[in-house]
Amino acid sequence: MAKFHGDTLCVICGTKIEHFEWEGELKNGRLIPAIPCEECKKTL
Amino acid sequence: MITENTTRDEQLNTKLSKNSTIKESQFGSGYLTVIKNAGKSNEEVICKDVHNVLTAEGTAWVHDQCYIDNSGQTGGARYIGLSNDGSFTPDRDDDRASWEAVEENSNGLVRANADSAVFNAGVSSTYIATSTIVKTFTCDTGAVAGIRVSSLLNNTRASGTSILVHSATFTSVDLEVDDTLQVTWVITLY
Repeated sequence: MAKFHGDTLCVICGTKIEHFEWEGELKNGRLIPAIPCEECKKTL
Repeated sequence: MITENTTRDEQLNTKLSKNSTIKESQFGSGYLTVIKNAGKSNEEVICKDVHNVLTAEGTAWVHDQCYIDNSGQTGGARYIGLSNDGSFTPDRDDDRASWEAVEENSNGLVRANADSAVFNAGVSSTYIATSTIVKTFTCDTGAVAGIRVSSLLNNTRASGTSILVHSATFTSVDLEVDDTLQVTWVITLY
C-alpha cells in the first residue's frame, strides 16, 4: 500500500498542513491526498 | 471539459500510463504537468508529464545534499519558477544566473515555495518512489503572454543563492488576470 508524507494545503480551508502521513491508494489520478486540517476535521 | 494541446513532439517524448507511472529506469528524473484554470469550467491541460532537463549544478547539488556534504543542508528543491522567454531552451549547463535572466518576476508569477510537497514511497510491485511538488499561481496584476518554461530551484529568487535543479518547456500559454496555472513536478528516484 502506498505511503505518503509531506506538507500540503487543507482541502477545505487552504491552511498549510506542515506535516502529514498517509497510507492508502489514491483514486481519480490524484498524486497528493486531499486531507483536511485539524480544525476542519472538528467540523466534519 | 479538459482539452489536451500538448504538441505531438512532446507527446512522443513522454511515456504515459494510467497512474503516470514512469517505467524508464532513470535516476532522479523530473516530469512536468501544467494545467490552466484547474477545476474551473475552462480548465485546460497545457502539458502532461513532459520530461525535464536536470542541470549540471542541480546534479552536483543533489549529490552533495544526499551523499557527500550534507552538513550544509539548504532545503528542498521545491520552489517553482516560470518564464515566458521564447529564447530559453533548458540545457544541462544552465544555472541560476541564466534562469533568473529570463524568469517571471511579477504579476503573481514570481517563483514560490510549493503549496504541496509530498513523498510517495511507492508500492512493493514497482518501488517507484516519487516526490510530487505542486504550486498554483494566479495571474494577478496584468496579463502575461507565452508562459512556456518551468523550473525547480531550492530557494527564492530574492535569496540570491538558489540552485537551478530541474527545468522543462511546454506549449506556451497566455494568462489573463485571475487565470490560474497549476504546475506539478513529479520527481522519480528508484
